[in-house]
Amino acid sequence: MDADPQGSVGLSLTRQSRVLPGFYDLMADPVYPIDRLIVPTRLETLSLVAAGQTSDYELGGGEMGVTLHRVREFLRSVEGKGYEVCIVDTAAGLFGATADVLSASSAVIIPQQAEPLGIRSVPKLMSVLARMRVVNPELSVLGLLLTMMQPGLAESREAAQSLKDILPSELLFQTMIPRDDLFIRASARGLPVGAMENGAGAMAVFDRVRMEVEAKLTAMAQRK
Amino acid sequence: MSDSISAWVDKDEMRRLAESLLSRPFGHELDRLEVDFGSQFEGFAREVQAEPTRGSAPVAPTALPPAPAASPVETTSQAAVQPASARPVFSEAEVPAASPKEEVQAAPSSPAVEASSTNPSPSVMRSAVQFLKKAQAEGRAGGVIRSARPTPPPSVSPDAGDEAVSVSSPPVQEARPIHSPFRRVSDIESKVEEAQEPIAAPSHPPISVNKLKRPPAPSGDDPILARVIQFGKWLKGPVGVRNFFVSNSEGKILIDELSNPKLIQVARSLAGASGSGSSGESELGSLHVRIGEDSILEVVPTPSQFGILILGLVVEHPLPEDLIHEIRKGLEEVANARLIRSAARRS
Repeated sequence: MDADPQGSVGLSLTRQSRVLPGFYDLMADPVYPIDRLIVPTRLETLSLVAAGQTSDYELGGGEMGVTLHRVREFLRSVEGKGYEVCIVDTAAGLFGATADVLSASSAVIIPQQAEPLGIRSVPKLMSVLARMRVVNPELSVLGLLLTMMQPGLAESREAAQSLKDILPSELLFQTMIPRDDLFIRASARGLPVGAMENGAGAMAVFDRVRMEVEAKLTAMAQRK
Repeated sequence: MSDSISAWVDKDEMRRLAESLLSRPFGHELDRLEVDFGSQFEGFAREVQAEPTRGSAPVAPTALPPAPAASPVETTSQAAVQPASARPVFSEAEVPAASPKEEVQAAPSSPAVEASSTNPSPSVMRSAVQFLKKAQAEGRAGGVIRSARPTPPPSVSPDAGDEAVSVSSPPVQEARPIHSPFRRVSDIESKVEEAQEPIAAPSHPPISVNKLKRPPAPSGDDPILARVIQFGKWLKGPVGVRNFFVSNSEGKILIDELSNPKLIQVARSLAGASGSGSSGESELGSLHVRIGEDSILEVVPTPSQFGILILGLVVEHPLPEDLIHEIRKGLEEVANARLIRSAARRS
């Protein structure tokens, strides 16, 4: 589900995303039929909910809690339909709809660019997440996932190493997503990167992420 | 750590925050819910444990690995498809129950699982490979989304009844029933939403402090509960609070009009998270959280001779800082009335 008003997830996959109803239509109208929001894909195990069309939220919807109830209702509904996992892509920042999604979710992954500016903002991010867990004690932090890693750039390597030195290993994904032109070409074609002709290597990277996530979720379930 | 980062972050603070994110927040006691995996569930697969690597060798450069010479689809599909029935398993009896101490300190199992450690059956592998090939081919041919047409929201003429609505929407795929590892949202629904709504007070915005009548001066001769009840009348009258409670930082209740332990726990946790345990009023600030569509829980930690008191107010709108200040001052006077009276008599 794309909960980012800019709608990048949908826009990277289909031009139709510009006109599809989605998350923000539901936030604007709590009785919006959910069946009209769920878009099946050619991958039988994957369905999408686009960001939607309503733009009022972007201007006036910054307060946390406004849409929490609707987010929860939506998640209950898709759970009732048998969906196993709902991955929500949220806008950057920890307010508004992002805060509401976090308040209703059971786990969070934090993508973080492997560069000094990104690393400097990690303490603030963790501080806010700690307070968010007061509102939602069920929220498990699966970890920081370093993205756009550039092995050839010393600053990028140092940024990643800094996090490794400071954070517990449980809070940092072992897999790092490298920066690669393939991602740009994939979004230009409207395809997931794993479906590209030379996307097997990328798929292997994300498959490692998938395995880490599964292991963390398993450990989470065992602790409960 | 390079200067571009070390000069900007406090390592110890980051570690402290990281540890807090890995533990349960503020000793909150969660209800233990059984995760329903169904009668066929045999247990979790054993994971290969890797050594933790904090502060060890520098990060090995990672780049997208080149496509392997062998069939890439088969290679990746081995990792992609691991049906439950083919995994090596514990029996449920072997899964150790975590003690309360272990819950906080136990590290999750290492995520490094080699695809080759699982042995799916050949027929499963064949169907997985075929499925992936088909999906990739279809994706390259026509994109990911099945529907060829956009699905605009339904348009209904003002005079039309429901029968007139005609919408072309993509076919809805009902997902196959799969037991989810996540707790049911309905089970973890916050008790905050289940709280009985207090008797609805007339809706009105917070009163301006300039127009606010001060609370009656508490009498040091009255017991504290009577003083707090009197203070409560002021809260619910001129201030416009719907309901309130007062507890200490350990959760002992002085007065509670809500009968909702979860709300009190939330208030204590918020007060604790704000670091208001030992700070002066200037750092106590305003804390609030939305607990319903038109309800806010305003949390006002207040220093007193009894320690920090947690005042929780259910209001319709967040209260302005100056009003919070007046409320805090009022509760402080109520709590310390006997001290103030004794001091006055001595002088």
